[in-house]
Amino acid sequence: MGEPNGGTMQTTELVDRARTGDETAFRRLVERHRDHIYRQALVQTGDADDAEDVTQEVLVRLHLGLPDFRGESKFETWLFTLTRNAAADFRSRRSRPRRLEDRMRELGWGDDRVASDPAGRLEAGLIGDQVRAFLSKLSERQRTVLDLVDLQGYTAAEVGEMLGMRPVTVRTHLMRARRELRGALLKLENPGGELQSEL
Amino acid sequence: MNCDRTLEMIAVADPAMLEGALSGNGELAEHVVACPACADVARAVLAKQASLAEQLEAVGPSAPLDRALQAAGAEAERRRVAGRGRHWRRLAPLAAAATVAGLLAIRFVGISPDGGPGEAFDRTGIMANALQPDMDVTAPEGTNVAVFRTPNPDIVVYWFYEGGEAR
Repeated sequence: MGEPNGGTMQTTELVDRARTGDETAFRRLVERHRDHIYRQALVQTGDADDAEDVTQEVLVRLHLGLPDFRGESKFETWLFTLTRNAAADFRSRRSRPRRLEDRMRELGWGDDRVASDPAGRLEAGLIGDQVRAFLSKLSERQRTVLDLVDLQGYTAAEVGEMLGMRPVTVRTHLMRARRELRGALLKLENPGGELQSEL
Repeated sequence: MNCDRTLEMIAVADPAMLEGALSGNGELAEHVVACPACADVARAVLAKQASLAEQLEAVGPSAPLDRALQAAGAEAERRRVAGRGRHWRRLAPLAAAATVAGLLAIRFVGISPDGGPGEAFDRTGIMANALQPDMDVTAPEGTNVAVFRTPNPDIVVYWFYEGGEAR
């Protein structure tokens, strides 16, 4: 089935069609949002490979959950929550083996290939230095808040609603995130320089 | 305002505030406009952050869309089927309990104090009407049937028995 409106169908219309089993609409919806899902997964997991897995899991949950989506919130907000939950589930599943890996390293049975740097598995060249610094220097919460406010333009109040935080808490995380990130980014440009040490 | 204080503010300022400072507006502007070093830091922060935003805009999953959709569809279907199985497994104890309750209800409603079928007897004190004359039920050959009306008008119990034993 071809896509009506020359591919300019609104998300709400795509969602309505996809909910009723229109596979073309579902595909178009995924095509439109998959990169954003991946970006959010990357911000939350801090790891490119994990972000791939989370993105795929979100597509599965989208398949299962879309028929129940009632449009009470914006689709993008619903998708944000879906991705956030999938990333959280992924982290909780991963935490046990990772703790085991840490213990094995302590006992001298460690595998050097296991990177302690959360961005360690990012392949050079695929993701730039700024993203690498962003992922490795900030906590998950700091990354999420900074990405949503400074890079995507949401307000602290909106982010507070999305994350279930008070706006003042969002601002606190944001301040810390900016300080960490800006220091790290300037250090990239001018390693050993004086300016970034001021930040 | 000195450089230390300005740099402290640059470290946490909104990007819009930094842009404003560089173009001569806002709290930071007075110092930034007059201090090339602090202005350089503000410009570098904005440039790096813009570059980060661009890089994050460009990221995406490596799996081809078709393959990802196919795999997601198959996995969703697998979970749906597994979910239905789990649903029935969850209902199984409930169904078993309902069956037992039904059998007990038949027993309590249908057995008279002397233990045999016949006149309906409800041990909870509610008498059922046995052998309803308005019912036309044919028992299989060699068996008899007792018909009981329960307190629920929508439920009638048919009890087929032979040799005095319930079947």
